[in-house]
Amino acid sequence: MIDIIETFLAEKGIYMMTFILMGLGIFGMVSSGNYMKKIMCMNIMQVSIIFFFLALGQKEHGTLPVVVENLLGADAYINPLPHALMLTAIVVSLGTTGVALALLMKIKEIYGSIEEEDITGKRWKK
Amino acid sequence: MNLFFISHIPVLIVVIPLCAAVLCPLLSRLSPSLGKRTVIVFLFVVFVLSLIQLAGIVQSGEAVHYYLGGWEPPYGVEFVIDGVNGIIIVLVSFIGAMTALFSSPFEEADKNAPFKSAGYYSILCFLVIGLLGIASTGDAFNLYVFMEIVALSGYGLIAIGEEKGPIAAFRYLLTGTIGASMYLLGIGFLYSATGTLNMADLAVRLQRVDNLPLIAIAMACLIVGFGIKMALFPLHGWQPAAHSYAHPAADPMIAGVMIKIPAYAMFRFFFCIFDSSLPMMKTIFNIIGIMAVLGILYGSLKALRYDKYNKILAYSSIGQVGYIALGFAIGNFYGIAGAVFHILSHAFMKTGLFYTSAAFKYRYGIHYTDRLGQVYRKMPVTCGALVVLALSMIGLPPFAGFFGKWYLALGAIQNGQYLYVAVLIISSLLSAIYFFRIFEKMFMGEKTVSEPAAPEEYYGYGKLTGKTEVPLQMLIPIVSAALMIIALGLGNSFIVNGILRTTIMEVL
Amino acid sequence: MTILSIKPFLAVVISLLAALLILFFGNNVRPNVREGITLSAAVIKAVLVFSMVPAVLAGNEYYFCLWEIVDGVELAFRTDAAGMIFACVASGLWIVTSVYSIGYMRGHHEKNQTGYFAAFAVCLSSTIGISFAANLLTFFIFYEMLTVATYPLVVHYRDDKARASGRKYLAYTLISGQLFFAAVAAVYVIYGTCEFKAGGFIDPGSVSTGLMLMLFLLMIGGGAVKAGIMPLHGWLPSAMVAPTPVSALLHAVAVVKAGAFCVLRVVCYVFGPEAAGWCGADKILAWFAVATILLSSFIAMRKDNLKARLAFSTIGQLSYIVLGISVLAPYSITGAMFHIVAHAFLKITLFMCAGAIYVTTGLSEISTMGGLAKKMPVTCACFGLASLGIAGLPLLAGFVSKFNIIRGALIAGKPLFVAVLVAAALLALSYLIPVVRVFFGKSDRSAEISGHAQTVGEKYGGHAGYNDAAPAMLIPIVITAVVSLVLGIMPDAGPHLYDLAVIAAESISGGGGAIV
Repeated sequence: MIDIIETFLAEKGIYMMTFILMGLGIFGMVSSGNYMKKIMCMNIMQVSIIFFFLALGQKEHGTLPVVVENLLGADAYINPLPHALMLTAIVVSLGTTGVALALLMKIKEIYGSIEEEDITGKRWKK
Repeated sequence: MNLFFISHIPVLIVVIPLCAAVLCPLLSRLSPSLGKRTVIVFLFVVFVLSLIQLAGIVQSGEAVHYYLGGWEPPYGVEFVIDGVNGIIIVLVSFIGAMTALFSSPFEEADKNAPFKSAGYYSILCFLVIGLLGIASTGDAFNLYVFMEIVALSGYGLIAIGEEKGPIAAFRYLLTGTIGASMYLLGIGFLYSATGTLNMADLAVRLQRVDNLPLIAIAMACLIVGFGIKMALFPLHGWQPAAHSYAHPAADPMIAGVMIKIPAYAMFRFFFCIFDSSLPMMKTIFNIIGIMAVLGILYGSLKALRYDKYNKILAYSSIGQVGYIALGFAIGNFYGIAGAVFHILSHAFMKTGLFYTSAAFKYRYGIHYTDRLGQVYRKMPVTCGALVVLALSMIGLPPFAGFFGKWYLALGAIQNGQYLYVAVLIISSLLSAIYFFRIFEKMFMGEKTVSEPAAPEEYYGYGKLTGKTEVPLQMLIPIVSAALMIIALGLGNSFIVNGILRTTIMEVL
Repeated sequence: MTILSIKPFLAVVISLLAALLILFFGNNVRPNVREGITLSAAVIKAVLVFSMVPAVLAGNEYYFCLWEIVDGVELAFRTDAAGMIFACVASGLWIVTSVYSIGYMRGHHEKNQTGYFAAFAVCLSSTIGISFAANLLTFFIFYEMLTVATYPLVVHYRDDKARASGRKYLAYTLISGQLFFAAVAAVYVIYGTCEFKAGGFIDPGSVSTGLMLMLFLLMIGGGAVKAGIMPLHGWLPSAMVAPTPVSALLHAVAVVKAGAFCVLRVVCYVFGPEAAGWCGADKILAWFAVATILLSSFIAMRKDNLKARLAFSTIGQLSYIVLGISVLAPYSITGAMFHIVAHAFLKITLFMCAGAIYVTTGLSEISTMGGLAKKMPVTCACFGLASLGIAGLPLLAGFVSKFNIIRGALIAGKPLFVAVLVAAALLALSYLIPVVRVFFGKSDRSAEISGHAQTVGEKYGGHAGYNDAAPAMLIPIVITAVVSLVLGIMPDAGPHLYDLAVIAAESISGGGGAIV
């Protein structure tokens, strides 16, 4: 039993972690009433997906895909493509966060608050 | 024009508006109107280029492949343009150019207009770039980047809108980011299974993948991702507020085109990439079908409840996006052709209707249909276009909306899915109720529209000039949308048989 | 046999162009220009339509195809004999109604005349489109166009009453139109064609009885609503709020006849007598028609408002056409088609009389019209003539058609229908003759009427102490009354409409094999 769990965690554990992280992020976005917290949770969710891609590119005994002295076989390097993709994704998420913060400032200016219940006048939960 | 130029059209279509977007704020420093004129001219150039491109595709009958930077796929990013997206690029560039033209009178009454209008035009340009990019690209990750460009510029255009704009934009940002992340996760799964992101390559390699649960999860992620972006029924939450409060001049683009292009991307994934013989495909299509049916009914019923013109149109969009999804769920030639044709026709219809909405706001500051009484005496051309567009939305012949419905009905009957036909009919009748209600108010309302005597009671965007019809820059887009609806309706078989057929037959 | 010619298409678009011109010039020009456009379009259209009659009589057909409107179906026009009859009636009566409209609208100082004349022209365009459509889809396009174009006419007065009846009208026609649409799509998917064919293109037994019956009912529903078959007639009496020329157009020429024509096309050119008989649809249709004829007559008797009484009379008369078609015998189909002509001329006379009375005297209730004949002898005489015609008296147009329907029913061995038809003729007498008697009877209110007429006459006609209706209204009335008399004596006079009906009925029975 323990063995099964161990192999599962060794093989798929990292993915489980990323999904838990993503679930936490979405849960936070839905449940928190403060817009700033919503943005933070959004970032957590985005990070989880970045982790997911990076974990895809990883392999055991792989090294950096940079030619230092002599070229090794392809097996010896980790997959660089997910890293490249995630650089772009990070830039995108940075942009999104920037826009979100700008909007938040505007909202604060108009409504004087960034609490959901103050703005909509509805009380979400007690 | 030489061959070199022609061969680079696919990338020029995206690069030219990019230049305009960057140049616009700079040129606005030189002269207030130079920036916006540049944008308008550049976008019209793009429209002409897209027409040339489409003509080439139709003539040769083959898709155009363009390798960015000369890197061949699957290593580099490529643009692939065939019949379906060729015509969608024409649509986007045409409506983009028209919307830019339409926006030009809006800022003239504003004090710090030069600065604001430069920013506005720049963002509008980025929106067009993103939409054109989504339509052109043949690379799944590239599509994500363009989708985010669309989303980011969309947030901006919604936020600079009316009083609740920022909050609507913020909500859309949160939901839209979840959608984009879901899409990214979906292509992450596909990448882990195949090791490629090129769409054509994905299609080939996925056939050798036997890990069906993985593909199913990827599909689920993609449905959620696209569903949020195109405001498909249970995922539509952000849409009504965003479409109601966006900047009135940009709203036509946002409401008309922004939610259609993800629908096109959905077509790419579910018909061009995934193998239609997969065992779970039937279930997936049924799920999309259920979402579509519920969305059509929900959107049409909800639209009945509102008096605010933009809200009516926004909820009707939820229903109309359901039509497109319904076409995918039907999944045979007529279904897909109907869906793609509906992307085109609904883009023109909704854009045109939002143009008229913006025209009412511009001239009289009218947001509510109750206040439209006798407006046709003041704005006859706008109202004439509105009637054409609304009749097309209801689905009456010979306008374009009817023929989209016709193909969908043919497809549904061919598959024996009579429920879908019933839903199409019910939705038509419901939309007849809310549009004829608007007609009643426009033509028979007792409160007559008039310009307020005192400037401080005036809420319109335009200057108080005593004119009644909107300026020519706004009339041209309005009338052209109505004319396009008639042209698309009468010429629909040229589009379906002449342009779409080859591409759709290839993927079936 | 088939002549390729642009004429049918021109006949359709000419009034569409007229509508655009009217809308374009709008209120900026004097009414004369607007009316000039209407009249000249009407005349050109009639000339175009009537010029095609000789060739059709000789057994040829004009055909014009624009382009493929959807995958596999063309936007095409074909002038077969049945369509020709309807087109002749509609285009001929458009001239008459236009002249009358001008008189009525001017006499009544109506508002919104631009929209009125434009919508009128679009209506006529779609009516000609309906009659010349070569396939179901083209037919449907014009059918829906007619629905939409009639709406502004129904709500012409733009008050609450007009709005309510407009809604009612839309509810009936749009729902039935959408069901029709579903049936058209289904027929196209199942049979791969939409092309009208004399005798029908649907083989009995090609699908299950239930499905075929359902398709038939969905399609016929579209026609039945416009033709006012009970229980789908509700919109027709309430559409009475519209101006009288509109009622004349709605009830005599365009809309209800389009409905009856739709029934004809569906039964005889889509399903064909054989398939319709096979799935039992003809009996359902016939019984509904019988019920409508009887019920509407009883309701009409109780109406005091002249226009309302005429409306229920229309509902009954339209069911004659439907009954004639559903008997499925060649004679009865001939009779039904000729009844389209006969009823058009008779009913338009009645409506124009009602309108002329209203404009000249301001009266709309029958009980107040005592002794009107002294004031308006010509109008009342024409009304009386048309009433007798509606009842089916010999030497008037109504007789020819009813006689043929009865003959068909007898040959087909359906004596019950014969009884109904005869009874209905008597009923028609019983609700129209009292009106005529009031007109020619004594009046205890002549002083009141003349007083009212004095003021109304001064207000509208501009000539105090008037006698009869203004010439622009009177001339059309006399023309239609005379035509219905002529058609009763010589059904083949003029454009040989009776021959056309015979040709059409023969082609249907010839093409569809044995008739039940």
